[in-house]
Amino acid sequence: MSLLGAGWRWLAGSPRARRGLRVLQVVLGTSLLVKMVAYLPLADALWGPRGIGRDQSFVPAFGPWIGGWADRVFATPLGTHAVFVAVALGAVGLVAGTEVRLSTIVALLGLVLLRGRFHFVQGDDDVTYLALAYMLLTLPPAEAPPAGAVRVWLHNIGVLAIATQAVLVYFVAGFSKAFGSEWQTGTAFYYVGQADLFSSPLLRALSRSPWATGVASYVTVVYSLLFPAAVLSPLRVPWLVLAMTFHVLTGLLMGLWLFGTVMVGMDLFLISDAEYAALGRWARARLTAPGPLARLYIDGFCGICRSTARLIARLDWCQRLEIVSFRDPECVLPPGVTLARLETEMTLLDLRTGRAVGGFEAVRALARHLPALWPLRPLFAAVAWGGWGDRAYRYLAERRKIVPDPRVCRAATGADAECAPRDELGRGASSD
Amino acid sequence: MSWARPWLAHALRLGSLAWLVFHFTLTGLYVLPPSPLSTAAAPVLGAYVDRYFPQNWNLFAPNPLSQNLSLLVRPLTAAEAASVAARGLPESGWYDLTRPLWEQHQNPFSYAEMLGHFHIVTLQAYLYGDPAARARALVELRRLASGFVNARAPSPYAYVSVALKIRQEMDLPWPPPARARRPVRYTAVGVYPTDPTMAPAPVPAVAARP
Repeated sequence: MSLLGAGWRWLAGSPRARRGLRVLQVVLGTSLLVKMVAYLPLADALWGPRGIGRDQSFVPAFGPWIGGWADRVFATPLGTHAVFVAVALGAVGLVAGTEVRLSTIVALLGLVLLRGRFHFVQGDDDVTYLALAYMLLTLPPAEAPPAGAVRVWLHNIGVLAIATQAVLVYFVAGFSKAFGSEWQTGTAFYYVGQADLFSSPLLRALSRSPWATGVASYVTVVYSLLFPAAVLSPLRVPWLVLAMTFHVLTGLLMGLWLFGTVMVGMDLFLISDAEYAALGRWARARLTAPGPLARLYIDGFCGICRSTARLIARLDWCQRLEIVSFRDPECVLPPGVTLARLETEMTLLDLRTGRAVGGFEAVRALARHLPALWPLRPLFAAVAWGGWGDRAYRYLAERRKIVPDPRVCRAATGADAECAPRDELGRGASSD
Repeated sequence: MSWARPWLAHALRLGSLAWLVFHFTLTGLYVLPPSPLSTAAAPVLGAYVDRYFPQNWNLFAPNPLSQNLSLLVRPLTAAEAASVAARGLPESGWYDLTRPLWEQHQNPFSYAEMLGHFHIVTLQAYLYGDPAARARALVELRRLASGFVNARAPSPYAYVSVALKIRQEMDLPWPPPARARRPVRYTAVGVYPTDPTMAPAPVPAVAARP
């Protein structure tokens, strides 16, 4: 009884999966737009009045009035192209999030016409069509009726329908494969590699390995069969991340880009609003800081150092760094670091731990602090591992041009200041 | 009438929930492998799921596609068509309409993967389908060929006929041999009049491999 009660409250409470739904709309809209542009050169040959689907009629499915009207749409090339344009406009609306209900209806009607005219459809067509149909029950992004309203209930029924459909896709795909001898013997991946329409040189090479073909074949079936249980368990998010990784791989290795994209959209839909909120909090905590986390000491007398500092400041989207010139008389040097060392290498002081690193190690620490440089971290690690980082850094540092210029003492912060000589302890002498 | 609104709202809630259960029960029966239940429900499945919510999640199931199938086309002039009965089909001048689609299928911004998949499904239906599926597949293969000929022909009536063949590059069984050529089998489909009313299909084609 309590389970039924919880289910009833889930449906009657607030609208669910609003962020996931929005993500799904963007993904479906994007894939539809790509498809309409890509398929347009074949519009006449496949869907047009002289195309392969020319003897298909809508009358048996929709009756003489609606079916007859739909048949007339494809009676001219202009009508055929108009259907493509309509679907593309609906797709744009879905991506933009404006007039979402109207956009969904337009895109869906266009898809009904295209599917009815030319019978061949692929998995991504089916997922898109069904998700858009269930989406008719859901609320547009800006609409927020009170909890308990019938519209909220219908929205949640639509959400449940999309989620159930996603689960069904995975489960049936796994269940049907489980009957196949090649999946049972762990060789299916090898055979897929031989069909050039779904393969690539990399897949062909990988599929010759007994380990790769065995693991890929069994994991595909077991993963799909466990999908319904996994998404109802605490493992949901990692399971969905695995699914998205799988779809990216099917795009890269098998060319199934459109199906992969649409399924990634369905996976993202299955992440709840609470999980999106938690993810947002985690990302904000990682990306933003109340104050600078590190102080970068550069040489304000060196033109290259100043340009580098300006570039770093531009990349510091989260304001994690404070960039100072050690030539600035007001600059407090990091503990345990001499002026002589600062003159030879850029130094980064971690303000939380008080640890200072210099040279190439400072470059690597910078890359840790700046998300924009994260993609370069593996490269920096490889260069450091090879022992090239410090050598390259010293080579550049020793050849930098130093021009004492009082105007650029604080070049890093952009403010002008008078420079005063520093003593060896690194304290700026009074300018009085 | 204010007493009616809560009842109406409840009816709508229960009705939508009932529809959800009904819809996914039927959808489950439709997409899972045939069973006594799906056989018993066949009329409802045909009238509801197949008509309004068709779907298929059996790509690569029960076993994945592992052959390379191609549609080979040879446009024939009136003279060539007349000599087919006496001399057989010409050896040269064949076009492979499917192979260029495999080669471009990794491009997500092209129709290659979709059209290539359509070729494969139609060729499989012709080779392995029941009589109705074979007949439908033959119509579509002829239309594909005519669309290609109409796009390439110098004039609408330059080629009066078209010969069709299917090339099957068979798979090599596990374990992968170090060096082996994949066996190739050809299936003659026939010689048919071209259809000048078919819209030209500006699809890529390459010379067929010997």
